[in-house]
Amino acid sequence: MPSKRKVVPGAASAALRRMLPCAVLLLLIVATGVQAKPTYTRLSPEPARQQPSSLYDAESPALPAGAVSVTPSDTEFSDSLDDYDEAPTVTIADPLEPWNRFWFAFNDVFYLYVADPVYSFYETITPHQFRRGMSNLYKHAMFPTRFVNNILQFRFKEAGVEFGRFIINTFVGFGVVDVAKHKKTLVPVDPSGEDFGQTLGRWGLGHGCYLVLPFLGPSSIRDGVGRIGDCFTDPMFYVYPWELATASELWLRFNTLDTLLPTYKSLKDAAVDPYIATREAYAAYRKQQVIR
Amino acid sequence: MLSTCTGRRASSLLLSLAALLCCLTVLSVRPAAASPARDTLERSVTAILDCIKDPAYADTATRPAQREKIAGLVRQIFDFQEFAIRTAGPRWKTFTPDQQKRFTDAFADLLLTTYISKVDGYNGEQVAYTGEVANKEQTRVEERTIVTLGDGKKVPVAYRMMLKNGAWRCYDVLIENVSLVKNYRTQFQDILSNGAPDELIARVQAKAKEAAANAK
Repeated sequence: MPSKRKVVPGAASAALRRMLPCAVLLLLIVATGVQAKPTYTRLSPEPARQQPSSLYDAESPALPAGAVSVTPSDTEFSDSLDDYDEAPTVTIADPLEPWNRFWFAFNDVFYLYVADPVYSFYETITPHQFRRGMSNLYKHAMFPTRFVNNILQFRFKEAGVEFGRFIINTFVGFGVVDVAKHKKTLVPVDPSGEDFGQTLGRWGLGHGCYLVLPFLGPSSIRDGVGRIGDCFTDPMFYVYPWELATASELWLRFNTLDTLLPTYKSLKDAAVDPYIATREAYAAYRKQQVIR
Repeated sequence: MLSTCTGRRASSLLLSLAALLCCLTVLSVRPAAASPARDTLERSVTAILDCIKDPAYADTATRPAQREKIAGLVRQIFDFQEFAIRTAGPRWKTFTPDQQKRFTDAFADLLLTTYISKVDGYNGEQVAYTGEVANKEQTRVEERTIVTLGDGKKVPVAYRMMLKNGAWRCYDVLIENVSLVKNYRTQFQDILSNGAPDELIARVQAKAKEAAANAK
């Protein structure tokens, strides 16, 4: 038989013998791999679970519009999914309700019958690229507030990310283009914007009581103090003359109404008592901002 | 020759077995299939998104029919009676059966109209399912999602679901951790502390009518 290979008796069993240790090893790896898989069956009462400080799990910029993506994850267990049988706990004290209701009504008229028409007119005379640029510039100018408050809350990673984004946006986007927005960061955090009110909350201060500010809307004693504190990290505060500083601050704030007005309108449309709906939403939203 | 062949076949068999095992390991390391609650939610959300993306929705002539379809889908996943019971709070038991029915209907109308008017502004939002929390008995589940808006802003939206008559239904929605039920509950508590259930029902009905008028 002109075979190049020599037929050695017992080659099959030799090959088998050579493969066997590999197969056993593989089986072992498989077995340990499967066993090493963590099992999530925590049935103890809810531990103090913190919200993730970043939303990186949901990072999915490449998906087509309307796509439903699935990030599989294991089920956690918690006993906090109540039936809301207990009497409602008041989330924020409101001893100044008559006063607050007055300013709420005042602001309502101001937002819907002054700010909204003026903003619509502003939208017709300016291209959206310009408005987007100005809102980026405002966010860019508010960098010191976010940076300082991240430091004050000992969130050094977030402060670092804010700083990096500020540098990139200054030199690449001149402050009007937010080039760093969708860039992956070195540390897995996605800073959500901090202010002094949140810092005070982080330090353990409660709201005090609910306070509706003229023109500015819902706030509280704590967050009102926070706003005053934020003045010192606002670069406009140091601009001279003050007329120029005030005018640019007002205009940049006005420019960002495109996100605030629709939010207010949809909240008001859905609410049976818009005052209480706004108050509760504000308290819950700020609580979340402080935690994350 | 025969034995070589057998040997090679045996080794290739072993190799393919090993490869198969590898595949199986990879598959088994991946988390188990989605829970029934998430499955239900995902199917509903996908069906609603499909309805909105349907060209028939953009056409004003066929839009009302599409809206009806969306309303049907929403009623399938949201249990408005559970919403109503929770928003009325402890006072629910003092409502007469007729009042309970009228309140549930009015509140369902209000929620549906607001939901559909939100859906109208659909602008390429994406939904990512990020996790779930269940209670010990596994009869309540919170499904967490992140909605990415058209402008890239991310909004956490959580759906609280319960097993009712063998199906998973939503009884609360949390947007930015603001519970819809708790928000309405505080509003209704205030109205109920000053007035009778009928007054609350009248106000909810009036609001639903107003929202419907605004949506048109």
